[in-house]
Amino acid sequence: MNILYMLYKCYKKFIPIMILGLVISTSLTVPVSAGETSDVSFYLWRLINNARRNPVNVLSTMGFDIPSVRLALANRSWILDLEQGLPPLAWNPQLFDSSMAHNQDMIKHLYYSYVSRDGSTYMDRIERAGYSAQIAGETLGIVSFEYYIEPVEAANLIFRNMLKDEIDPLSRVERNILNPDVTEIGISFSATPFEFPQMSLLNVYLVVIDFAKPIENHSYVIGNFYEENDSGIHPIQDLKELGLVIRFLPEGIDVPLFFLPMAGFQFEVSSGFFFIEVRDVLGRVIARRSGQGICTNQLIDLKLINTVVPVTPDIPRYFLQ
Amino acid sequence: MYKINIVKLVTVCLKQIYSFIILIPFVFISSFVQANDGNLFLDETMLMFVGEDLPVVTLASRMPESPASAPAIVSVVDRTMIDTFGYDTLAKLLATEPGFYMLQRSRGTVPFLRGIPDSVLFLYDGVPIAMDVTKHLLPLDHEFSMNSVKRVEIVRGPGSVLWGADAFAGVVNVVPFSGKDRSGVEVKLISDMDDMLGSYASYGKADNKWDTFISVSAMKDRYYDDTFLVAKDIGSKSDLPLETGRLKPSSYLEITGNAHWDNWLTVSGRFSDFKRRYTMSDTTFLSWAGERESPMSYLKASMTKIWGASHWTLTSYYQNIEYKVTDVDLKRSQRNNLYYSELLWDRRILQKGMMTAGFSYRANYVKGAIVEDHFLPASLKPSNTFYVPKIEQADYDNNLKSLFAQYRHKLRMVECWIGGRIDDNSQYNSTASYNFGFNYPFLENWRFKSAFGTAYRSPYAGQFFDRNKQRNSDAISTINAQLSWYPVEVTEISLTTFYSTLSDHVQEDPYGGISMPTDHEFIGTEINAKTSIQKLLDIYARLTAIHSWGEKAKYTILKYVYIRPDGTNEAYYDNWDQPVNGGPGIMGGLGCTWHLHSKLDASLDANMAESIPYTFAKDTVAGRFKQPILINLTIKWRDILVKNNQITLQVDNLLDERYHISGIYGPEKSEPITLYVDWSFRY
Repeated sequence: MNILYMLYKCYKKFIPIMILGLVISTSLTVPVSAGETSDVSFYLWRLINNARRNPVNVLSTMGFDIPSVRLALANRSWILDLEQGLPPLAWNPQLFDSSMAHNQDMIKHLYYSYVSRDGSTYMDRIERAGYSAQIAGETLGIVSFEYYIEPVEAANLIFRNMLKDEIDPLSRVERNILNPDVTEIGISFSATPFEFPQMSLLNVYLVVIDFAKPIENHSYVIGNFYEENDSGIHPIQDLKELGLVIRFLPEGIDVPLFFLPMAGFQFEVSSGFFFIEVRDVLGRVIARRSGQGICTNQLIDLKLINTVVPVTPDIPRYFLQ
Repeated sequence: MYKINIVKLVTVCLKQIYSFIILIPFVFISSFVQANDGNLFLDETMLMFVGEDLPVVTLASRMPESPASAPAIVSVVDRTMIDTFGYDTLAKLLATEPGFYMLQRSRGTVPFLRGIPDSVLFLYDGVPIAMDVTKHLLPLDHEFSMNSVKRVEIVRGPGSVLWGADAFAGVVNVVPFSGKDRSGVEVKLISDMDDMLGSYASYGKADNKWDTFISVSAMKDRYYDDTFLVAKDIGSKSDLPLETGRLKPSSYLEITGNAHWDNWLTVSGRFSDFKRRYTMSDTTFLSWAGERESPMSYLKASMTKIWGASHWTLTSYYQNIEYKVTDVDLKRSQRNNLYYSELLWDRRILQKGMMTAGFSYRANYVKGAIVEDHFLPASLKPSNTFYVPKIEQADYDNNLKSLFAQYRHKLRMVECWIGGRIDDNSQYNSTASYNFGFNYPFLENWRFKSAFGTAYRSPYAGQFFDRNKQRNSDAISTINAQLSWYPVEVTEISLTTFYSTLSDHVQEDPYGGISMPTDHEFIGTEINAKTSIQKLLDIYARLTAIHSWGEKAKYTILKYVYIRPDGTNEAYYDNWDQPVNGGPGIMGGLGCTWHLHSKLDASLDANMAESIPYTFAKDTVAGRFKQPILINLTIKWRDILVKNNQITLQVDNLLDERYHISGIYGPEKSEPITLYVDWSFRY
């Protein structure tokens, strides 16, 4: 369970602002309030996992012509035919550190490149962050603007352009978002005035995304909580009153988790059964769902449904779907 | 009460002394002329009459004459009317004139004339108050004191032939008192029983050969919607960027003066300094504090001389406008130094003709012209922790040489006129404008006047410096027809219809900047009537109806650029269109003055307007604001206890109507009921 501790370490600074819910369905766009750019990193992570889960749906929603995409993907066009899509990418704190270090270095030294000023590549930086990768990749993006745009809007614009470049056969960028070989991700998203050489000062959002597959395989369950009512799917707003516990079976070990921004969660499980339990402030289970570990990452989004049944010690008030 | 920045005052004085030195040769020349021709008989000149008691206008032909005979659609608001209705700002005065709509925005009132915003050339003592590339600095509110104003002359329709650029939909000239008009001392105190406190003092003296007049006005007040909720600093990294605050009071100072010597030399000037503090809001919950300064100061010298049948006038002035606008802590400042000289000649020709011609040269030095003023509310959002909007400014100089002439000729009962002007700008396209018309008093009490004119407007800074935008000036052509009936001295009814076409018209939007040029047409009718019942009750009525059509204003802005590590990039643009801002289609008003007693008058004025369209945030928030009937009451009581003093009680928005007006970034609250009291004494 060391990974849980690491995740906790990585996320604890975001705890006070974590309770902003969001989306899940790839066919629906749900608003996210990402006041801090750190939240937007998680938002981008979610967009990437959505695209991996259902690339055809995401690409067509964005207005891309699927037959053209199929031609552009060439020998990877089979990705579009996967029933379950590609496995999601798990958040990795070392990859986050590596991406953030490069992000800050570019801002500090005013450059924009895969190669740092000291000559190190993303592979070097990832290794320097303590991550042992079998394979790795990096995607960079900048949005420059004169009229202020919200961080979430910027994330959408950057993601769209990154995805567009990946399906452009003429583009020289690395294909990472729809790469079936990578399993983990770290995203840094910065908002800053940025001065390119021989250019005036630009206001930019700068994104560095490091993708990798570790030498030692891990598999994770990743997901977000959402709720649905008559007006559609909405972020869950009051999760701070709730606790999240993973009960691993058959031992019955309870591992508490902290919600990530956008009511997200992630935990490692390689095999066996588990329960995802939502508990109220008194520790009572108000919702529960079972799952099974497999050898790859899996995306489990949970819809919290209020059953309007009075709370009793035995009957959960909510169901998880 | 009013803090004068001594350094600034000295600097401005030095500048004006410098300007005066420039004018010295001109004064010498005038002395020479005077010495060689002491004949000042005016019978062969264009000076048709100068009467203190008759309504006089100088706007339409550059010479004093009656509004009825002037070669334009003219009206005059004299001191009696200003006193009767207690107009303490130019905006309040013009709001009661047919064709005008005053949008009382917090940053400053925006005038609409015949459906066109910012389309009026304002003159003070014949000096245009304009900075070419910046349109929003007109002194329509408390920064301009009405206490020293003798009369306000208004021309409806283009006036570019005689006044050059920006005399677009009309011209307004404010004529100050001279020593002959107001001899002695006058003092005045004004208060609204709250934060407003003002004072005014003037001194005038007249002798056989000379007269002089000087006035000082100082005031402070507080904007009625004085609380705001906004980030402490734009781009603040504060975790809690929102805070509430209360505005400080605004303050205003104005000094004016003039001196005339022996009917040939006039020296006049104005010094102004003010800070107008206000709040603004966007379409969400944000509101913030703003501050505007645009004091206009000038020094003018004018010399007239008669040579045979010719009358020559040489006028020179130096004008300085310091334009500063602050929103939250984002400051923009622009400085305008203008030097102007004009030689005007007029002469009676063929007994019944009158020629007026002139040549002028104007050098305009603008430092920090605001080329692009970025959309502020977006950067005030709590999610913004780093972005400070960029303000693009540039310096520019423009020299303008102009040649103009207007000829009037009387053919039996009908007086006709024709005029033309060529303006040669050093920085943008040269322009030509012309006018013609006739004035026909066809029955004893009836008059029909028709006037056609063209005019242009100087380009915005955004047009001027953006290579992608057209540098063509907005152009207007207007034809007016006016039928007047004045059966008795105290009664006059006039019906004016007009049709205007605008070409290459652009408008400014806080988000979109300068729109693409489009064409528009306006047609309208103005009715004005006044009468008096047995000298006991004066009644005034006005009605304006305007219909306009044309293309919507189109905007394109760069939204963002996506940049790849290999240096390639993709630019994305926002494109949208929105209706042209035309003000209300129907406006009207009714006023009366009841002379209750020889020492007591009560005036009531009701103003109404059709609902007014608004559009914000790229036309995503649009609709119409209802305008209630606004009633103002003024009561004057003269000679209380001692002679020559007067108390005025004024109530604006008597019914305390609460409504919204269209601000720059979002809706703004209207001014609630306000009560003023002023006391004045003349000695």
